[in-house]
Amino acid sequence: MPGWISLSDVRGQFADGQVISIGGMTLYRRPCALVRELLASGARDLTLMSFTSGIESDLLVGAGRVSTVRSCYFGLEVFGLAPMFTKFVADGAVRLVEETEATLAQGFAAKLNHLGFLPIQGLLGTDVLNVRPDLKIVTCPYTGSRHVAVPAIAPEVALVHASMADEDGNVVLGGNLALDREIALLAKKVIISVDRVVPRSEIPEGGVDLPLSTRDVMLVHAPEGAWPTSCHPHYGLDGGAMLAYVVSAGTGGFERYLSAFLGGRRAVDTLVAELEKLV
Amino acid sequence: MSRIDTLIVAMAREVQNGDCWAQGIATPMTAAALMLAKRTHAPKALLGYAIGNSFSDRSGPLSITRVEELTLSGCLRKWSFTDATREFLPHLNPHEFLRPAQIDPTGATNNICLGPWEKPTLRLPGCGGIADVTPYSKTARLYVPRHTAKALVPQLDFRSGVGRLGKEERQMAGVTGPGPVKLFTDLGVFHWPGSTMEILTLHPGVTADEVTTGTGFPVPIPAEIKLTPAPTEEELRLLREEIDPHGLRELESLNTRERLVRLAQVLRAEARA
Repeated sequence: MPGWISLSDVRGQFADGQVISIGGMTLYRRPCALVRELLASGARDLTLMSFTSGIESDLLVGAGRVSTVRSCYFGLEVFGLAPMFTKFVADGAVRLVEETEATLAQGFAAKLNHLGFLPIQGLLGTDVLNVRPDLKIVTCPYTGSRHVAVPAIAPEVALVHASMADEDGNVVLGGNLALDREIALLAKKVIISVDRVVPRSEIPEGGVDLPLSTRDVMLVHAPEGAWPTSCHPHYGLDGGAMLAYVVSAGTGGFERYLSAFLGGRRAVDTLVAELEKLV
Repeated sequence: MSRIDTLIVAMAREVQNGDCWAQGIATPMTAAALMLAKRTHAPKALLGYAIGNSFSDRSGPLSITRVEELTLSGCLRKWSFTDATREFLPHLNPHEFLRPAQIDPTGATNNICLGPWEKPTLRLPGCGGIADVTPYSKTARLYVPRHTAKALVPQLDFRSGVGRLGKEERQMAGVTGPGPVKLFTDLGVFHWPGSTMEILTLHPGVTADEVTTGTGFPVPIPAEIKLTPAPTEEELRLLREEIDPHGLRELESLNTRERLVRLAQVLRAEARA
């Protein structure tokens, strides 16, 4: 049965060395309030096993909490490269496992199906195979064609921010589904922050992305829990906060931004207002 | 009329009515092209968006802060990346514009790193699904907003996208795809009739010299250079007034400093709108 906890309860859920999957898509519906608690917990030596990674993951990398990244895209879209990820990889301070959309999606699918692997059509002819010595090639027993066998994988911890849920844990994610359902089904420890808690009658017909009423997941009511990323349909992306991050981190001001982020939205808004005068 | 608008219109015209096209991660310029196509000659095109993870038939205005109003509000269908990798991409076989950091003479691409993978001089965001689809895709186009010798290189630092391979190489590697169909840049449109890249058309005002100095490998210059057809007044009006009034489509063509300044302007305009 799901349990509703507070944001500050989340902090005690983390431990050094965990393999964590952060839900959402690039700059959209990321569980930033949960990541704030992860940062505050001090947990380090983390592996990020996320479909894509954005500002929330860059804050973790820049804070020195991440030892390994497994993600098919780590960047800030039109805002540019993720500054701390870029720096830490060039410094050799973060280990990478090169992933693609299919290695992650099919890797999770294999695990969901209790299979050791799933074959995919991709990766052949690319250098990805050179940096993934763990990947094996299999021959289809029916057609004889060769495929990369993507190993089954799963995170230990899944952090997801959802648009809404009812009290029983019927979760409606919103949009930009990415691989959020998959990580929430697979992880042993699932923490879902919810922007709106609604009565059952407001859940749209057939619209439950995660029927979790029978699972031991942790639910947190966290309005604006995706800020500064968006949470469709409730609020858009905070472009000022994103721009302030890129400018800060690019000019030696990462610690200052991190400190503001840990302080919450008002602290970042103050920083944004100051930086706006410069750009 | 800017070269970027000529580039976007050329991309839009690549879309045929009834095609399925997908917009990939971190490719905002392609949204302008796809939406222009939808509003003009390809109203029946089915468009899928990585931002939104959805099929949507809206066609503007583009936005940074409210992009999901475009791709999610009133959308046709939401999909996950499990759906995308197991069904949508392999089976609907959408056409895509991919944006690489580096392209080599065969159209192979790099979105991973500059310098060696083990200790890169610059780590790039990653290749998303490029390494997944290019080994078999017949529908991949490439685009590079700034055609420079830094982007068009004789040898890639890392190959995350498959190009045009010879028959034997394809067999050895297990690759079935023919490589990218075309490359669109701010100088022109390029293709692979043989094993290396050639000019298909150059944009009005672009010289052969610019292509030679702007490309890090030899590109044959034909005796008669065909011109990319210029955008029409209506196409330009649609782009400027209805699809992209805030000018997001130019962002990818700007250097870091210019882009940050422009982003600030766009965000201010969006806040006022």
